[in-house]
Amino acid sequence: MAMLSRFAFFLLWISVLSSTTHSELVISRIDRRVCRSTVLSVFRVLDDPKPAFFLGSMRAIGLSDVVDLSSHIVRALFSLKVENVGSKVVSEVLLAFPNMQAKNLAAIKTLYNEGRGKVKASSVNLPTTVVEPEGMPPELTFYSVSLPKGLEKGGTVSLDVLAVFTHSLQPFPEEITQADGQLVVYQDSAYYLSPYTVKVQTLGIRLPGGRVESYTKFPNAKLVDSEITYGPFENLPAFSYSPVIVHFENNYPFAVAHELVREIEISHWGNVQITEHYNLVHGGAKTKGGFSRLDYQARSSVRGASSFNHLIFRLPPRAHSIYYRDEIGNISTSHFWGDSRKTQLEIEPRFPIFGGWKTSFTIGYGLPLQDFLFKVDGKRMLNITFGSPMDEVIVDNLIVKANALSKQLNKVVLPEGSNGISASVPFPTKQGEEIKYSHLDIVGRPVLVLEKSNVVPEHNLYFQVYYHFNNLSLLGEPMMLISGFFLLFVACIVYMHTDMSISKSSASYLAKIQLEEVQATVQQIQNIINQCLAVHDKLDASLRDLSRTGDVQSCKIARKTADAQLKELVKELKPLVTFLHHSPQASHIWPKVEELVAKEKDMQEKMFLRHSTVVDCFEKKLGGREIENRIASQQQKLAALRQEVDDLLEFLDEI
Amino acid sequence: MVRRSPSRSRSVFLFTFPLSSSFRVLEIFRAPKPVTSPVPVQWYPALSALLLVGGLFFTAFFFIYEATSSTRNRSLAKEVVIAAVASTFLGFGSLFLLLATGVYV
Repeated sequence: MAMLSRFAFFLLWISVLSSTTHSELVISRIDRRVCRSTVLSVFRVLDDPKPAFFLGSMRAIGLSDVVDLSSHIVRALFSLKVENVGSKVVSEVLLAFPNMQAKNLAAIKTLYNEGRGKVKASSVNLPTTVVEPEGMPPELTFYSVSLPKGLEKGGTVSLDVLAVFTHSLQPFPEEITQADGQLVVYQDSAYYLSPYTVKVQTLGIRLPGGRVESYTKFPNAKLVDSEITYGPFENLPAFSYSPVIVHFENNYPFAVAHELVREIEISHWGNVQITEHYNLVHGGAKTKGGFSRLDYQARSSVRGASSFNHLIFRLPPRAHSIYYRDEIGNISTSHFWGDSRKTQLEIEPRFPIFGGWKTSFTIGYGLPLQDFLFKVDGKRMLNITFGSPMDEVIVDNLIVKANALSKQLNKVVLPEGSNGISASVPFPTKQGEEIKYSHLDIVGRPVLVLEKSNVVPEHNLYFQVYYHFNNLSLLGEPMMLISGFFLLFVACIVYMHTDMSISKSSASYLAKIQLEEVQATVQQIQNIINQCLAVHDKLDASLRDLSRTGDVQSCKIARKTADAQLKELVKELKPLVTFLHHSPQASHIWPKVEELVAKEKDMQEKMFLRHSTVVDCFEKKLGGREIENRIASQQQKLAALRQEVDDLLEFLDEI
Repeated sequence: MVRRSPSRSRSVFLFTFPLSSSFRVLEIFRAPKPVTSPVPVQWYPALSALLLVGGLFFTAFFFIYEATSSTRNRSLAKEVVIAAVASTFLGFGSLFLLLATGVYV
């Protein structure tokens, strides 16, 4: 409770200040900005702002649509109605937070509702930035809200400010056993700490609904159900402060990711692969004593109310190929369901997580490319959410690696001098670039690194990464595969073509060479014989044509061409046959080759004989039966010869 | 920020009335257009099977040619051409195999 004494000191300091310098400060503000303000109605909610109940003093500010969940993330919603009581036009409103709170402030958002009265028109998000106004106490951090248009004298403006704080619930006691519930302490001020005077103000604190150990009764506190209200307070001077401490039970899973590395890998072949490495810790009260699995599973009273054993991820629709693993391997305790609008993944860590316990795991999933990648003005634009898809997690340090793009990118863009990869993120982040080597890469993929600490679900906004990409570079990966396979084939070709023998003059080597030559010659002879047979077939065909059409002339022409072709082939055959005849290596196949050539020659003669017989008969206009009788014997001989030639060719093939 | 449905309807416009008015054409070019894969993702398994079968066929042809033709009769150009065709088929086939199994390169 050292904090409390510091608070008291702070209060004292502020009261001293307001009596001397601070009064001047207010005046100086009047002089400069003429904004000695304000009707300031404050409504602050811890955990759940469902504030219809408190709205009595502030008409026309609709808050009932904001829904929050009780968790370890503190969400404070301020509904301010600011009035300008000075004479000059004011364009900004200051919000003050003690430094102790400000350092835990993860996100701040100001909404300005344009609609008047009950009609709620579109709400505008106003820029809210840290400022350091002169002469203000250094214990306070100031945020400035820029109004969309200047506030005239007497004018009022209604603002909704949502501030999200992390690590603001202190566990007390700091160590609990497995059976205990978790008690936490929240500190705040009953009065809204403001640089302006406040006319009417209330504070509501919504608790998760468990036991309330104690709460500060002064000033004017009421506990109804699980809501504590302070106020309404009227006509408070600027920088009023009254510490409030609430000690209550909160067993919400205090999931804090010490580090989360999200890797978004784009493949233009149709996939956005997201890999998230979590380093998760239970940020609540530390556990003391042993852990009893028996108690945890069998006895519901000592189950360990403060622990959690499952986490829920809300993934984008059409997420596929989901995995959940850690260093050891796959973790099978996960459940997954989805419809057309969302995909939900529920994972269970390997053990229940108690206060102070850690676990680390990796989840990964693929998303369809066309949902997240767009083409804008010749550039590619990745549009994807920033934060973790996990429910209610605080991320101490989030690193997003938008692993975009291809090798081509750098080459195309850098000469132009523009930064080809650019990101637009709706809040400040640390940016850097890296190179990652992945499948089938040569120069590596450029990686844009975005780093942000203290991330809450409110940061789960869309951000954009722009880059240039040439579609031709898609062919890089297949080209690598193709060249890989081609090299394999080239290696085979080289192996087959190189002569690896050491002694080029040995007898066996020479014999081998000769044998190869003989083989080549035999192959050539076979080739030629086959061609001859093809010519024979053509002659046959011409005869058939003749019997059908009776066109003797074309049949004669066919014979002439066949004759010429065969002569050519025989001429080619002659040197090969002589080579084979004189080659000692070919002695064993020579008789067969000789026989083959002879038979073929015989066949040629028979062929021509039959051809001329048939043509003669046709010229003498003999009947079909007569012709058949005349060539019947020739036909038989030819068929026998053909059979023999085929057998010989087959035999040679086998050698 | 970017909604899918309007951009989709615009791309439909692109197909139906490509040049109906210069304003619309301008709008089409400005609007974020979803980037899709060059080949529909559902085709990957079939494509990889087809291309790999073709590739293996040419590979078989190549090796049969290497083994059966004698050193003297072998033509280098023929070998290289068969090898190039086979490796193109195998390369694309294995790429689509990788993509179909979820290794997005």
